[in-house]
Amino acid sequence: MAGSLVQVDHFEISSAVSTVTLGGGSSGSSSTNFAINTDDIYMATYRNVYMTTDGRVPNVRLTVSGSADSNANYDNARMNLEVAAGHYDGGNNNSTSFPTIGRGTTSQESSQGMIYCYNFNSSSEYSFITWSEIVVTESPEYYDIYGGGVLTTTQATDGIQWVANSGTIANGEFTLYKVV
Amino acid sequence: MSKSNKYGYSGVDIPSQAAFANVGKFDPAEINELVQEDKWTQYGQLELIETINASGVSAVAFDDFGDYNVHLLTFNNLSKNAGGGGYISMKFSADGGSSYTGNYPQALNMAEGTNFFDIKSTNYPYGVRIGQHGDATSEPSNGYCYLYNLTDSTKYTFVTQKSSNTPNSGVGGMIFGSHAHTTAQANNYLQIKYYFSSANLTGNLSLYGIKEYE
Repeated sequence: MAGSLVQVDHFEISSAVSTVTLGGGSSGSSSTNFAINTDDIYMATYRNVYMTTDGRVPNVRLTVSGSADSNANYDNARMNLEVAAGHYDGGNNNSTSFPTIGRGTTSQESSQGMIYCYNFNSSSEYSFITWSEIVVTESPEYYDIYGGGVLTTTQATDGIQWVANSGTIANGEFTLYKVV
Repeated sequence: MSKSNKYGYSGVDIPSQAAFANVGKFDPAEINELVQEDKWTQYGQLELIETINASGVSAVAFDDFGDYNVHLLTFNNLSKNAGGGGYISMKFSADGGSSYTGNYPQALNMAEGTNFFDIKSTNYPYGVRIGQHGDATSEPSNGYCYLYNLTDSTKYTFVTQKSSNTPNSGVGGMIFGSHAHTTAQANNYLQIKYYFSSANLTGNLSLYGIKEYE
């Protein structure tokens, strides 16, 4: 179907988890067993993502054959805009994940956003993402975060994983679409 | 299962149906029934709800949000005819536009040519800024917003947005950022206007729902 989003995976947290994986085949969080396996662009939406403990962070990794790549090859550049403090330009080379920021333990202190995925299916290119999200911290402080990132390993990746830096992710609704 | 014969099966247990897991042979009535129950596999999860082609109106409003958790609002050649450089904004209402309550904390970054600015407020009362505009159709804004939890009575509505503009100076610019409407309510009306003074709007706006099968 031309000109469409096609839902390929969806997962809603029903009890706290340390990771959530969209895609990744049978290692994914849902029972769909979908793995990113075409050269299309993919788009993930996520809503109401909050933690079990204030200040904890659901960072993002990519999966290779269903397993999260935790090697220190994640680069990113991002702008964090805050409602009182203004903006902060950030970036990291050779991190073990793509970063976001801590948030609270309710839907009013959660994140909503989108991640676009590029080149995931190519074994000869890096995997790139762009993301845009609004995050409310436990204070609460309101942040807009807009960034781009690349996993600098020439390998095929087949999914996205949100991983708690400590503790667990209490809530969240995650959906992955293919852009065709 | 109330029918003994369904989905092409007879004399055996009738399989349960779910989106992306339909099994059997279906007649049109069964398909319609499954569509109603959100159990029929349909591709194309970006669904147009409404397009409004506005020409010289004081406000643009959407009052049909469908059954979606995430919405996309696009605007093309959106301009106003008075008021100087400023922001056309969007507000949410839970009573059909009779009242608009609450504030809109926001964090944005804006550029005009090579000049960049932060726009930030903890209690902005004038809604979601969806673009910066001059006073002519040659100074429009083009962009999009993603809206989260718009109709959920228990949650704040959150918005991320991005647009390309030619504001009052005629210099190209952009604005992007996030907003929250810190009133948990089930919105049923969305109004876009120039809230600072009287001005008429012209432009094309479309509201889409991003379908989620659970």
